[in-house]
Parts: sequence; structure tokens; C-alpha cells
Amino acid sequence: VRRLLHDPAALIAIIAAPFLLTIITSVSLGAPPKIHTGIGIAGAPVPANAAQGDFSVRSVGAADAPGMVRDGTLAAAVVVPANGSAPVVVVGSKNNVIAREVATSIAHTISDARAGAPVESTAVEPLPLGRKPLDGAEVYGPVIAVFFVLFGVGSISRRLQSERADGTLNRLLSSPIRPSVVLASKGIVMFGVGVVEVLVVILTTTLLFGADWGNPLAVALVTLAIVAFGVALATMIAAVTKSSAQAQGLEYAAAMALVALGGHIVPVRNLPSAAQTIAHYTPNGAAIEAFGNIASGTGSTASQLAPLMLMLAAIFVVGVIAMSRIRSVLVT
Amino acid sequence: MIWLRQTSAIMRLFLRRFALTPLNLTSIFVTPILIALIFGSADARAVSELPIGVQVSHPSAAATAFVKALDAEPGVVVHVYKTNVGLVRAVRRNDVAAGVVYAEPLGLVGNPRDPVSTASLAVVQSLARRSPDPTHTGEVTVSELATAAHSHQTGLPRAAAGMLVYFMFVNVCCNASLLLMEDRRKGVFQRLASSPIPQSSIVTGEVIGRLFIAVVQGLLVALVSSVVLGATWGATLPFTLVVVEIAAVAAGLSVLIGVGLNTSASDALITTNALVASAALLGGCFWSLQIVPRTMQILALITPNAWAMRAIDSLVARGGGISDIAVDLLVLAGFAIALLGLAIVRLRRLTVVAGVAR
Repeated sequence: VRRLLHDPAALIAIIAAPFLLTIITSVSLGAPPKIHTGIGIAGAPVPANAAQGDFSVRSVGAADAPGMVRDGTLAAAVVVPANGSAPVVVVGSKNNVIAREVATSIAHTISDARAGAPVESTAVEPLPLGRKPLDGAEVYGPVIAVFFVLFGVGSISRRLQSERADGTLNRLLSSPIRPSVVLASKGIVMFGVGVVEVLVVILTTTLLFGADWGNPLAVALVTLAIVAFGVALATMIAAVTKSSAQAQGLEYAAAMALVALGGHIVPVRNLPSAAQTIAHYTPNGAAIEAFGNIASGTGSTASQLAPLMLMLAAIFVVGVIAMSRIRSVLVT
Repeated sequence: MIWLRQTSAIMRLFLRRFALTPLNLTSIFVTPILIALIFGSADARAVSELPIGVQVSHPSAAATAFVKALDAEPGVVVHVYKTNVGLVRAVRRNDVAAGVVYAEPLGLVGNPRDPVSTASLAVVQSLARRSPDPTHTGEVTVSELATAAHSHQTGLPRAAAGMLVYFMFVNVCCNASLLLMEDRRKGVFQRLASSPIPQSSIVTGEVIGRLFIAVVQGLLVALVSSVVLGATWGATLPFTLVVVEIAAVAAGLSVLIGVGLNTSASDALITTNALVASAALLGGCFWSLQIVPRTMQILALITPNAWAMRAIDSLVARGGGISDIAVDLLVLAGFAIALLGLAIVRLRRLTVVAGVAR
């Protein structure tokens, strides 16, 4: 711990980097991006209930519509031809697929009415969301916290390999200190590093961006579980590699694979459906899901913590492999 | 002639050491493409899909028809939830952009923080005003216009551009700078100073080697992502100029890090990765700067990444030429001159000190 506290690079990795990345991400993605939402309708009256969500719908001239879409005045336009048999035309921008899709939906409704289809209008009522939805810091805070746990705790296991290479470990083991004590001390420091990294993200998002992570006890449980997984993984990598460089390469590969599969890089909902399923079954993906459940404040605590079971299973499996192999590192 | 041979020898030595590391090869050939693929497909979905959650209180044929019709709406991806708690949690967590409770009347719940929530609600409301029976659908044709003046890259091309810029910095600043640190630790510069190789050859070889790796990396990512992901890069000459300038910035930064950082390789890797990742996040390599607040758009301009992304965006999305990216090229050149100049001075000082120490 003393070595860590006197090492500027370690302090950057454990405290400064999570702090900085949390701020950049929270500020950048904290406010929802604006989507240009103006839709024009030409050749037909704007429907009485034209308020398409927040999409503004207004009447425009049929000849003007394409030009207005091209110059960005409109996001999309619906052009209804005077000839009743000609199809309704949607003019969309290559750059705004969402607006084109909304315009196409409106065009179908207009087209159905023109074709004399039976109108089965369904009454609609807005429902309250209850507690506020998660904001940028609450969505991306857990992602960054878990990311740093995966990349951060490995530095201690690499030190184990370095100490083995430079003979420090042998000298330590030739003293009355038992190997299990050496291992436990490394494990405790790794655990501490992981917890500090998560705490830096929690404090940054809470104090600077007003994030509400939810029930503190449940958050603590998930934090302990993901850090325990990180420690187990780093120990396993230290156990199966023969040098610091090997450990570094394997840690990087494992962390990158978990980050890519676990839904850190992009929101899970934007991944292909198979990748969405895989994300739920990775320990880091499960941790992000659990943090999200807790922050959303919906349902019982038990249901919020359901992903914890998968994390515990992963800790057990990786931990067993790590403990069965780590002895060879300590005695060689 | 001898000077050239010596410089080339220093450069080749560096390239051989760099290329023989599996981690570096992975970072050059595999990781950028894989991450661009994940980012790109997700980016394309983010700007085209409307994920809507549906919870049916009382299953019926009408409810099934409605869910089917909603799923068939353009862009809509329906996720069915068994309970109201599950649906509300999904909306609050941004798993879906909006929620629909199928009952009489139809319950709609949106997430005001979600960028496509209003669009999703608009589509549901539009569907609610007509029969969900697909046989009643009138004919609609869709035409797509290019809005050149306002275009920005999205989807795979944008992700490929982001990864191109990011990984040029990752490989040269993080991985290649470690070799310089290792050389300093092992006293390689002291030994080189005792050889007849002139100081200028050592400095030029080290800098050109890094520049070469960065240019090759950039062009490789461009080529592979064109073949694999269908990315385009605009006019060849301006794009090549942008790549060379990014490479020069990265090479300068790499030497500066290698000369200036006094720490273990492991810690150096973490520090440089944090630095490079922060610049990439700030500079719009991971997400479009179009979606971030104005302050962040301005702040991004302190990074070379942002200027590189601006230039590539202009070339690709708006078919720009050299005159359109002149400002971006000038600023990148400024970064390159400043960093390379500083790097050369520091490296020369290092070799002089090594010579004196000898």
C-alpha cells in the first residue's frame, strides 16, 4: 500500500483516470442529444391531433417540401398527391433516419384513411414514470466503475510476476512469512484498489452530477461482488502466466473481451440481439445491470440484485481455478 | 549515405522490436476493426431503431395484432415485458425508449432523457389512429435525399474513423513509447553514444520509425474497414494528408512520453492509456461530437483527435476537398510541429546526456 501511495502512476490509474473519464463521459452524455424533429405535411390537412409526441408537424407546400428537407428546415416530409390513386410519398433525409421513420408511420395513417380503411382509433393516455429516469451519470457511472475494476486490479497481479522475476518474492518466501500471507496481502491490496476505483466514480457522479445510485447497501454488495470477480480474475491470470509481460497481455485481452461482450462500449440495447443476451451472462454485464436496477428503484431489492447470482457463480469458478494454480507461482 | 544507412538501421531495429510483440500486432490488425464493428453497428442502431417495450395486461387476439403491427412499424423493435414493474424499470433504465401498456385506453410512458423517446411515442400514437390489420395498409413510397451541407457520418463509417484515430495514438503513444523507456532503463542510449552512430541518426531513426508505424496503422485500418465494414474515406490525397499529420502528432507524443515518463512499464501503460483514452473520449472518437453539449464541443478542440475527426467527417460525409479541411490540416500541423519539435529536443538532450555519462 505504501508503494502504491508513493507511485504517481498508480495514483493516476486508481484515482485520477476514473475521476477524469467519469467527468468527460457524464458531461458529454449527460444531456440527451437533440434530434431534429420538424415534419412537414403537404397536400393534406395536418391531423387534428398532430402532436406526434414532441415531433412538430406542420403544413407545407408540396413543391417546397423536398427543398426544405434538403436544406435542413424539415427533418422529413409527407407529400400527399392530389391524384387519389398515387401513393403517399415520404421525403426523408439520409442523415435523419428516425424522422423518416416517424414520417413513414404518419404517411401510413394518412394513406389508410385515403384508401377508406376502417379506422380503429385507440384512445391513448400518458402514464407517469414515477421516479425520474436514469441520467447520463447514472447510466454511465457503473459502466466506468466496472471498466476500471477490470483494468485496474491486474496491476497488483503483475507486480507479483515482477517480484517473482526480480527475486523479491523468493526472498520474501524465504523469510518466516507464509505463502498464504503473501498471497492474502496481495489480494487485500487488489481488493482495496478495486473498491477505491468504484468509490471514486460513485463520489464523482454523486457530488458533481447529482447521481442517485440507489440503496447504498445494495450498491455495496454489487461493488464487493464485481471487485471480488476482478481479484479472482487477476489472480487466475497471475497463476497461469510465467512473466509480467504475459500477464499484461492476457489481462488486456481478457479485460477487452469482457468490456466488448459486457456492454461497456455501447448501450446494450443497441447491440445485436445475440450480443444483448451474451452481455447479460458476463459478470461485468451482470454488475452493470444490477447497478442499473438499483438506481432505477423499481421492484424489490431481491429482484434488483438478481444478477448478483451470476456474478457469485463466476467468482466461484474463476476463484477455484486461481487458487488451484497460484501455489505454483509462489513456490517456483 | 552512411548517415542514411545508420538512421535506417535504428529505424528497422525499432520496427522489428515493435512488430514482434503479439499485443502490438493485435492492436494494429484486430482490435480496431473489432471495436469499430461493435461501435458501428450500435451507432447505426442508435440513430435508426426505436426500441419500445410493451406489456399486455390481458392477452387477446387484438393485443397480439397490435404488438405485431407495432413491431412492423419502420424502425420499431418491440420488447415484451410480463409485468408493469419490468416495463417501468426498462424505461427508467433506458433499456427501451418508451413503454406501452396494452389496455383500454392504451397507456404510454416515455423517458424524457431518451433521444428517441418522442419519436417512439409518435409512432405508437400514429399506429393507434389506424387499424393494426396490415391488409388495410395504403401504399407509401419513401425517397431519401442527401443533405450534403448538414451531413455527418454515422454508423460503421463514423466508428471506423473514430477507431482509426484512436488506435493510431494507442499503438504509437502507449505501446511504442514503452520501447523508448525500456531503452533508457537498459542504458541503450549510453551504448549508442559510444558507437560511431551520430546523434542525429538516433533521433531521426526513433522518430521516423514511430511515424512509419502510425501511418501504416492508419492506412491499414482505413483499408480493412473499407473492405470489411464498407467505410469510405473521401478524396485520397486529403485523407492521406490527414493520416500523415495524425501520425506526426502521435509520433511526437510517443517520443515525449518515452523520454519523460519515469515509471515501470506496467504503470506507464496505464498512464498513457488513460491519457490517450481521455483525449479520444473528449475528441469524439467514441461518439459523435454532434450529440455532446456545446461546451464539450469547444473543449474537444484542445485535442488533436477532434481536429482529425472534423477533417475526416468533412471529407467523407460532405465530400470535401483540401480547401474544406485547410483549417483542420493547419491545426494538426501545429500540433505536430510543436510535439515533434519538443520530442526531438528532449531526445537529443537524452542522447547528449548519455554521451556525457559515457
